[in-house]
Order: sequence, then structure tokens, then C-alpha cells
Amino acid sequence: MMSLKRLVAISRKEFHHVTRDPRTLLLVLVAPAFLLMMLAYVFAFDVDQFSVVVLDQDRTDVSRRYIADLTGDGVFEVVSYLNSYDEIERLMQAGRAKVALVIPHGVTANLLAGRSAEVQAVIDGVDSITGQQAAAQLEARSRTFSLKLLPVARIPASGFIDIRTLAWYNPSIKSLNSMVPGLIGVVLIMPTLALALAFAREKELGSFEGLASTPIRGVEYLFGKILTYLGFGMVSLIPILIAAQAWFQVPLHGTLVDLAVVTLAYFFASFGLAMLVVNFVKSQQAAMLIMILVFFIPSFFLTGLIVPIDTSSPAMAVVSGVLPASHYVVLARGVFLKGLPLVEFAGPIALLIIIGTATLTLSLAVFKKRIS
Amino acid sequence: MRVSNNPSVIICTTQLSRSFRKIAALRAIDLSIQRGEIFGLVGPDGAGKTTMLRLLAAVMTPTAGQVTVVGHDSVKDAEKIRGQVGYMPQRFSLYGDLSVQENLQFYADIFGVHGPERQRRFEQVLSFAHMSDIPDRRAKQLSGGMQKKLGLACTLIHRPDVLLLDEPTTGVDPVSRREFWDLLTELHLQGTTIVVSTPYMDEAERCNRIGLLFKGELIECGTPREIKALVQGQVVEFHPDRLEVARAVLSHQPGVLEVQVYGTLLHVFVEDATVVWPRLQTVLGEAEVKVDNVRLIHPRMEEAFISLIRRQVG
Repeated sequence: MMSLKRLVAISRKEFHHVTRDPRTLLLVLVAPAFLLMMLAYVFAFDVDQFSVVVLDQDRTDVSRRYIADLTGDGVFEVVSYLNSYDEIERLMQAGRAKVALVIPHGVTANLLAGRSAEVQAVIDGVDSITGQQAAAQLEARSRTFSLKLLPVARIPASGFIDIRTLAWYNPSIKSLNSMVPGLIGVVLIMPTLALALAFAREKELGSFEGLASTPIRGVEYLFGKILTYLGFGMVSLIPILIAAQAWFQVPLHGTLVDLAVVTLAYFFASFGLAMLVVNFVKSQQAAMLIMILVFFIPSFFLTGLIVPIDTSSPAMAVVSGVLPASHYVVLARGVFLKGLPLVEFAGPIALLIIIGTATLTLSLAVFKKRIS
Repeated sequence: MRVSNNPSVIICTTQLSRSFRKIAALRAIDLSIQRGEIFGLVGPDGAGKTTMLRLLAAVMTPTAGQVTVVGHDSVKDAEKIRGQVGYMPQRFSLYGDLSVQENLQFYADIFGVHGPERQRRFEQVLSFAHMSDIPDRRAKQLSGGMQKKLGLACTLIHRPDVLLLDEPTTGVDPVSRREFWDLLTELHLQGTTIVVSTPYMDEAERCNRIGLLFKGELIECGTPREIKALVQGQVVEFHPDRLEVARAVLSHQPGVLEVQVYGTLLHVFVEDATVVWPRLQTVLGEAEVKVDNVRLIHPRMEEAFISLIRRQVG
């Protein structure tokens, strides 16, 4: 027979467990709202700005009106007007432009003659979602321009602008090609999670208390743990590479050394951040939950992996700047798809090293060989 | 301040206090422990024994007062203490997934025991703990008593001058308990200072001196003999024919401190047997309880302990 009294007794006991543990309380009461906010942010924002460079070889009144019409509302922000095709590559590699609009010579002439005229949109395929959105927007805007504005310029109805999209670095704009390298950043959180759990386990099981009474130093303790998980983390890259290449057929244009270097920098930053956070928890359960909240979920949504980072919100810019994964997403995509020399990625690599150094320094400062 | 200039004092606390939030776990403890003695910390659960040992081991910071161990302050010079102290927390602090040998190696590494000395120490502590034949056994596969012995072996790897043991025999069977204490006695004879907390009164009797903690205060401190002498009472042991009735009628008699059942025997702890016992006999007679095998026994540590605690509560 089921006893309602026993059920209530269990329920009451659990209630005490929750209310007497501030962390669990926070988790059940505040965390859902926190997640809702975070997710709402994510799904509420569309890409609302693309940096675009323009190469206008036609240089007519029509081409200028076309450019003005496409970029007038600021969604396509013109970064610069170019004089040669080669400049596109330079700016796109540097990440300064996501889209290049090329209006070849003779577009206006073709239109006036009642023929269709081809215009080229070069997009950076490394970030497939941004690329696809940009292509779709350009297409829609060109169609509108053709329908509404060309007649004003006394162009026959048979003359319309045909925009051709060309994706660089990821020609088929396969989202797998941009998704898989980016996701590596997320799955490589596992070694960080394991490190965090190991750190918390020692406190939870009580072996930390014994260790605290020994001459061991904070640096030894922290880095000793880090070293092990760094080793495991790097080894875990091997099956990941096999999966990316053999299963997903994602090309690796960069070298293995490049990948190893950026991954090391990534672990350095992630481990530092994890150490800092886990310093304040005493149980593995708490460590797990914090890692999910601080690392896992934000790394999915706030790092430019699925949707581009909304840099217009300062709070989000800070969050994604601090999250190691957001830099690693750029780096991994770059190494896999662009295959540029590492010097080109000095920025994100430096940021990872800064994050790692800062968080580890702080972790050491707050690390105490005491129990409370 | 009572900082020890006396070289025979190896641990010294001055007004040592520790609070958790607003709850005082230890209040103003003044204690000196002599080099080479076995000092027992006894007291009921929650008396502050673990907090005391944590403070002595410098793994916890006092909220007031100070601790000096082997001449160093536990807050300012904690690291100077560490190499000379072996601390064994109450919770099993070894690594269950490591073998006996690996645990020893780990602690030897942490304490910087290297060179030719290292292997010799391994052999010493393993044979000391009677584990020479199972160096590859995983620590979690050891019995409770064996785990405690391995814990002790690990805390001994650097030959500490001071051993701090927090209830090392709690939850261990009597035979293993005795074996563990034989090990402690051996260390004591070699000159190691041992501070050990224990809930067992037979263990308290084996200490040179004991400190009785109650509600965070050190209420008595002295040799077992001195502690027992503090208790004026005597214990009358007898066999009543109706145990339950005898216990009920005697419990609330004036002059009776404690009534305890030992099998079919009753122990009545009284202030002065010559005065109280004749009266109790009358009471028992009125309750129609027949009594035989009466004898007077001296209070043991257990009775002394209970009496001293009662005095505090009362």
C-alpha cells in the first residue's frame, strides 16, 4: 500500500534539502529565469548588420542608386569602396568584411537594353549562417530594386538585376563545414568539466583536508591538476579530428600544428576560468551545475557558433569576449576552412592567453589551503 | 601572551576561539602540550574536537586567539608547521582508486621524501602498518581498520614530530582499534608527540593527559588519574531480581547521579556510598526488590566523563 504520509515525509525532507542549500535554491528558483533570458536573447536577435565592401566597376547613376538602395537602411554597412577585386580577399581574410558586392562594368548598359544584368555578391562562407542571411537579403533587396526603381530610371521591364552569390572558403556554404569546427569548441569543454569535477571531488571526499595540512603549494596543486587534463584534452583531439574529417568530411586547410596551438590556448583559457569558478564550490554536483550554466549553454549560444554574436549589446559582447569558446569558434573555423597562417589569428589567440593568465592568477590568489 | 619559551612545550594555544557564523565552536582555549606526550581530546559529539584539531593542523584559521605549533604561529607561519606535522582528518582522506603503494608515493612526493631514504621509509611504514604484503591493493578495497592504518602510514612518511589524529579509530572493530593504539604507543616510545581525539574512554585511559571538551570549552585537563579523582562519587554494582523496577525507583533518588544497566546488573553512581547506599537499600526494600552480589567499584573514565558533563549541564 502506498502511504501518503511517507510520501509527504519524503517531500518535506527534500524541501529542507533544497531550502537549506543556497546553491540548490538558487538553481531551482533563479536559474530557470536566467536561462530563459539567455535563450530569449539568442532567439530574439537576427543578424541586423553585415559589413560590406563595394566594388563598383560600372560607375553609373543606376549602379550608385542600386548601392544606395541596398545599403541605405544600415543593415549592410559599407566598410569601404574598393578599386580592385584583389582587395576583397584581403579584407575578407582579415575579417573586416562579410560581404562584397561587385557590380561589373556594363550592368547599366545591359539593363537599358532590356537584358538581365549579373551582379556578384561574394560572401564569407566561414560563418555559414551570416553568409546565408546576407545572400538572402541581397537577393530580396535586388528584386525589390528591379521592380520598383528600375522603371523610374526608364529601364524596360525585361531588364532586371540578377544577383549571383559566391561563397568563399566554404563554397557550398555547407553549414556542417562551419558548424563542425565551431562545435569542437563546445565538445572540448568536456576535459574542462572533468577538471572542475576533479577539483570539487577532492573537497567533497575530504582528501583536500589532508592535503591542506601538507607543504603542497597552491601553484603545484592547481597546475598539477591542469597538466593532467591538458594532456587528456589534447589526446581527445585525435578522435575529434577523425570524426570531423572521415565522418563529416570537413576539410582541414590549416596544419595540425596550427590546430594544436589554438587548442592549447583554448584549454589554457578554459581551465583558468573553470578553476576560478570551481574554487568556490564544495561538491561535484555544484561544480557540474555551474559548469553547465557558465560554460556549456553559453558556449552554444553566445559564442557565434549558432547565431552571430550580437555585438551591439555591450553585455553580450563582454560575456562572449570572456567565454573562451567564442574565440575558439573563430580560430577553429579559421584553421579548418581558411587555413591561414597563425599570425592572422594573433588577436583571438592573444585573447585566450590573456583570459587564461588572468583567471589562473585570480584562482591562485583566492585559492586557500584552508577549510571553512 | 603565553607563547612558549619552554622548549618542552610543543603545542600551545592562547585564548583560541573559532566561530562558524555566530555559533562558537571553540571558546578561549588555553592549552599546552608537552613534547613527547600522547594527549587525548575527549568530549561528546559537537564538543569541538574536530575544530580543535583542524586549528592545530593549521587547515583552519582561528577567529580569535592563537596557536603555536613547533614554535611557529599557525596563521603567519603555517607553511613552517606543515613539514613537521602529520594530520589525519576524521574523514578518509586517502585516494581509494590508488593502491597502498601509490598513496604512500603520493604523500612522499608531497612531503619531498626522495633519494635512498624514500624506499627505506616505504618499507618501514608498510611493515609498521602490517601492509608489506599488499602494496598493490587499492585503498578502497581495504577494511575500515586497514584504511585507518594506511592513513597513519601516509601521515608518517615524512617522520613528523607531531601527529594530529582526529578520531582515528571511530568505526573500527575492537581488535583493529587495539592494533592501531599499539602503533601509537610505539610512536610515542620513539618520541613522537601525539594529539588524538577519541569518543572511546578506554582509549582516553591510554593517554598521558586528556583534555575534556564540552560545548567548545576545555572544562578539564589532566592525567586520566587526575580526571577520575575529580569525581567524588562511587559506583555500587548489584544484581536486582526486578531490574526495571529497581532502575525506576532509584533513578530519581537524591544523591544518585546515574543509573545504568549492564546486562542483568545495575550500576548506581552515587556521591557517597556510605551515606546514600543504606537509604537506597530501604527504598529498594519498600519496592519489594531483592538484591544480591553487591560490590563497590571505583568510577572508571566513562563514569567520570558522564559525571563531569552532568556537572556542566546541571
